[in-house]
Amino acid sequence: MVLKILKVLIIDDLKEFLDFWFLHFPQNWIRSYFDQIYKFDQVLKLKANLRNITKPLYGDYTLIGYAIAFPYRVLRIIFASIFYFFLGLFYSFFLLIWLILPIFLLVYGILLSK
Amino acid sequence: MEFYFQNSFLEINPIGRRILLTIKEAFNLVLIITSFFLLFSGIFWLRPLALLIILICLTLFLRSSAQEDVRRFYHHQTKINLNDYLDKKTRNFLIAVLTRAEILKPTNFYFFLLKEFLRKKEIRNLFGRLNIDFENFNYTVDFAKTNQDFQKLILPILISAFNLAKSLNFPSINIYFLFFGLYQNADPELGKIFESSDLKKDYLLSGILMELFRIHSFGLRSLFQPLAVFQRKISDRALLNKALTSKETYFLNAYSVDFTYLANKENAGYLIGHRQELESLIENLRQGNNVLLIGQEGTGKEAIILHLAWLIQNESVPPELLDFRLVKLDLSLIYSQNKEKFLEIMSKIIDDVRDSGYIILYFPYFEEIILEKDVDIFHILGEVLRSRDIPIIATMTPEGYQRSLTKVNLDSFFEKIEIQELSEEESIFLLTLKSILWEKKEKIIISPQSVATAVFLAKRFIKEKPLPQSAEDVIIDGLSLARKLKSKYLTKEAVQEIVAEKKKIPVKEIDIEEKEKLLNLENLLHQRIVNQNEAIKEIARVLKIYRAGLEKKKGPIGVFLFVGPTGVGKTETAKALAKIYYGSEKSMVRLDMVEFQNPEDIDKLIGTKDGQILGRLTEPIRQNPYSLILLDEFEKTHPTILRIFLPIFDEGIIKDALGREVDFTNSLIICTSNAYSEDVKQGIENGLEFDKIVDSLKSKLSQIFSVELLNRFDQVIVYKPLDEENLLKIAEIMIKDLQAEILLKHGIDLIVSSPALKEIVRLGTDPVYGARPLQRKIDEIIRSEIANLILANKLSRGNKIIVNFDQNFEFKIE
Repeated sequence: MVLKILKVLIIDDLKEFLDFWFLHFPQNWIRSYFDQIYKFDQVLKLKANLRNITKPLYGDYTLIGYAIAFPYRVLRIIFASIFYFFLGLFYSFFLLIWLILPIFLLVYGILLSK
Repeated sequence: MEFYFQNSFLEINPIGRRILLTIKEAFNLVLIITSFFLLFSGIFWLRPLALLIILICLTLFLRSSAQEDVRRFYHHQTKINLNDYLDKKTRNFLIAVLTRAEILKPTNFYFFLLKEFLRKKEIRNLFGRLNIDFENFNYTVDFAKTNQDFQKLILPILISAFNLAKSLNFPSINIYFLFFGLYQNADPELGKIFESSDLKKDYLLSGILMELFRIHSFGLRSLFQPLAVFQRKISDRALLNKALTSKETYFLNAYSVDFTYLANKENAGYLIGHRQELESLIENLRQGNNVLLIGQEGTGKEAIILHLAWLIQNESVPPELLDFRLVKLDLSLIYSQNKEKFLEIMSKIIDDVRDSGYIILYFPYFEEIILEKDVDIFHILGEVLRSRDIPIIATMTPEGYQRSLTKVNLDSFFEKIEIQELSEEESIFLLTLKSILWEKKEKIIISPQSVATAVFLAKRFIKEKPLPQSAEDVIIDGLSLARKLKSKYLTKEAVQEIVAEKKKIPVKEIDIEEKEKLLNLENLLHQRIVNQNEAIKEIARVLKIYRAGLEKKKGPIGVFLFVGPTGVGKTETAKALAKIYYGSEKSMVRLDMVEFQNPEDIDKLIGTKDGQILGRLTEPIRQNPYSLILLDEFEKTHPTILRIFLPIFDEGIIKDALGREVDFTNSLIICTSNAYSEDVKQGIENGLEFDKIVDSLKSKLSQIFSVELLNRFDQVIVYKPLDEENLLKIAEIMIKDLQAEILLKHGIDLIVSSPALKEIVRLGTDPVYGARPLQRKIDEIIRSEIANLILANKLSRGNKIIVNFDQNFEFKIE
């Protein structure tokens, strides 16, 4: 009976908190990272540039057209990749803090008590 | 896969559970207060722990969603605890209800649940929207203290709620879904209550959707904004495609609208239905074909094209179409603004597009420019269409297509895709979503019943426009009516009223006045038609079945063949019916089939392909499907034309020459014929039984009409020849009409004596034409004499005129 009462009063809530904090939120956070990439790619066009890496810009099918387009597209691919990487870094950093926060508070509290 | 419902609270007995619930609330409160106290206290080492407890409590307090997401549910899970999919509010509601039920022990758990649901504001609002007065629900909750496993009874309700959340792609089970679960799993007694209050599953589902969208209506507005709004808002234009592989199109941009740009900028391009047409469009473009979309105005041709632009923008198209721009070019608009330089402009646009590449051109209302007299668009476009180097989508109406065919063979340039109107279900879904926006704007609650009724009636009676446009017009008219009446709700009845008014048809549920009219229909017809009991009985029977909503599934309301000699009342029956039942003789479409004796006369019946002649049969029915059609002297119709009537009599639907569907399912068709009427006369003179005469006549009719046509008549009714007594009665009816007319127009009382009436009948009866000359005789003898007397000022208002006969007709004025 005591166990049941404890379960209702504390354990269930604790379990719900842990589920949310360490499982559901990280899942949604990662999903939101990919959603953001999808939105940014409408502007940064990493996919479009990758797909057309060998095609010239502005329909200029001369040798110069090809010569200009390739480095341009490669540069844009690099720029977009770096941007997505840093965006990922920001997302990861936030997630790391999120995951560490309750553990840190608990461990820090215990350590201080000693 | 096994569903179960388990919650730690429910494992404790109900009294203990109630106490624990209270303790828990107090416990959480104490915990938070203590934590705050510790946070600001001097005990340094407790601060991080206090912060952690506050973090946990706040997270749990702010989190309203379910523990698990319904959308992330996978079928490989074998055991599913539905408790995890309930949102917090619904879970608390359910625990509280189950606790109360276990303490109070109601006899009928479903009644108890309904009562508990009706305490909730959300469900009360839902009933308000559904226009259902739950105060009138007739049920009482008894408490018999019997032991029932309520947690077991709730499981099927939860399963239904879970399935609904899943099918609607909602993250959790909310209170609406739970109520739907109760509706689905109600016991027969509760089922009766729902049934008697006209709470249907579809209405409930639409109502729930509307309530949910009302609460979370984000993003809906841009989905349904008319394109014109976007075009006004956007001043800048994309000059290049996404991958920058195309050239800049300065010239094209001055005359066009970039749909791919719109799709990206405004998130426009939502599409309901038309999946097959869209797939076919993409496949044809992929193969390099030009596509012609043919559909009535308002079927959603442009919505399909805008959705394609959205798909291109989101890179959800085959690789061949990736990186394209989809650009709208309204040729007739450009022409109307630049008549002189049109060809020059077009030529430059085409050069621009060809030079740029990666552009799909879309020409709306393509027929308008084709049919323009002073311009030959194919002079410029012919080569482009033939070479297929620029993908082109054009749209047209079916009428426009047929008319264009007279000028150019479009089929050699385009692959045709016919765009059908949305189905009723799709229209209801689309209009349900739109209703949320209208509600917010107009502050009038639109009931799901009114949306469903608008779609149902528009599909059947409003043929000028396709779904969903026709139903949308009805709802918008309904909203302005509700605004005028200062009503807070748009109801089903208001929608019925609008359609009834618009189309002059009895779409309302049968009211007392009409019930009486229907029940008395036979008597009313008998007042005008003499000696034709069988015909009257049959017609009255068919109309009663139709208005009671019990009509057969396919075909017109009724198809009758009236056979009999001239002047026995065949046409008169149709006229009387049009007047009594349809309100006026104007609701009758009358065709003399003598005019359709040649195969080429078919044009007069269903119109011509160029739209110059409109069908005399199809056009009136297209405009007003609720009509009586009288086809006089049907036997004189050419056999080729008779074949046209086979699908009409059978399915109730044909296409006119312009390819438009014409619906006869709300029409009553009466064909008359006097074929073999001599045989009827002779048979009666020879003393044969009437039934035998009828049988013999019916078998002879197969020599004129094909058996398949004869089989499609609901009834072949043989009219009896009229004897002297019948003719006297007919004359009395005609005199009565004349009396009423003279009294109304001139205030003169007309009385015709019995000898005078008999003499008129004697003079007005013809062995060949039956009662037909009777009216002429009455006009000759009485009407013209009264006219003379009025003109000579011998007869005036308030006078009485008595017509008598003794050797001659005498007119006595009193």
